[in-house]
Amino acid sequence: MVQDLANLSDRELVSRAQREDASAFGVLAERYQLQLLRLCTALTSDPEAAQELAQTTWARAFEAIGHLREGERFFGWLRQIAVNQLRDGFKRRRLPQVSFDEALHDGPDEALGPEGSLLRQERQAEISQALGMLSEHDRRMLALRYAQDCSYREIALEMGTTEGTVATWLYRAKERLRKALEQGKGRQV
Amino acid sequence: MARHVTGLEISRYADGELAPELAERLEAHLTACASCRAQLHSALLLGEDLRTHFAAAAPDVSLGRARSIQRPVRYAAAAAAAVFLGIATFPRLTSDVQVPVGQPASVTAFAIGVQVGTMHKLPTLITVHGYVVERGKRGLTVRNGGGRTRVDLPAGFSTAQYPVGSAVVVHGVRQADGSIVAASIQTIQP
Repeated sequence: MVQDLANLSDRELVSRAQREDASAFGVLAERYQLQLLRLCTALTSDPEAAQELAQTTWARAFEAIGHLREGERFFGWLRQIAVNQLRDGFKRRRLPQVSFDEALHDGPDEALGPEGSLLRQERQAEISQALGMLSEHDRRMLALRYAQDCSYREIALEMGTTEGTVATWLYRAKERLRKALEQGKGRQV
Repeated sequence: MARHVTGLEISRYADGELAPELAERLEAHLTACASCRAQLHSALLLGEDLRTHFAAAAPDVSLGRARSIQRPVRYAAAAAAAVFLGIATFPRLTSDVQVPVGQPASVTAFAIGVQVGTMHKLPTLITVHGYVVERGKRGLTVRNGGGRTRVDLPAGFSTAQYPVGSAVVVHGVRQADGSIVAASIQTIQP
């Protein structure tokens, strides 16, 4: 049975996994386990961190497989989950650690405690100030991407331009934001 | 070492918008280049800061609850994935998590008064916050950080009060196909 599944395409396996065929997800995991681990190693450079990132990525993929629309792009989807998990990991490490129980019962802000809440508020104040130094166009680009979660294609349609131009505009907006953040810190010292 | 990747490529990769073949080339380079890896990490953090900033600018009271509800599901998924992968270190993730199975449970309806009912397997309660991007007769499509989610409204309730572009918080029960049957929907006034 598993041998038969191994001959199926990613698309067919994803379709079966979405119908709660656990074996199909298992075949996908086996097919991409090494590739994902290589990716996680590239992202972290630390074997232990890479292993942990790969594990959480598989867990998230298993949870979210029902949302995948293009099964043939399974690994690309997996890659994005890994990158998102890495990003979430940075965020957690930057703030004081809280226990599962605290987070469950207190909500995020209360669970962070005074120190965590203060750090978050300070960072958000810096971001707010830096955004205020950008042009209206830059702020709009950043809002479309990070507030409304629009893809580059959707932004291109909205702005009447190409995806390549959107990529450049967003990159430049982020670079200007980064410089504004550095300037803001410089003034505080 | 191959040439460094550009800042533009790193920005696109961090946003999940780099073509697969270019993404593979970038990953191969990252393996050996700490400088570019640090740039990527910085780009990911900046993106996260922006998401947090914009989310805070449009207050969303459901966020904490949504995470609280979803986290046990995530740990359950981790345990299930561990079975597939045979990963020995998974107990570290699952050690303090209890996932009750086979007990009756009911979901209390919220604002629009829908009784989801008593079930013999615990339903997955979920809260989704995002923007309405499509509206049909019986349901909505809501876009949030995790992608698009189909939200079905129970019979007798209209989608007319949730125009495309409106910000909503949906509490409901997740179905096997990933969609949600709403128990309540709140709109957020900017």
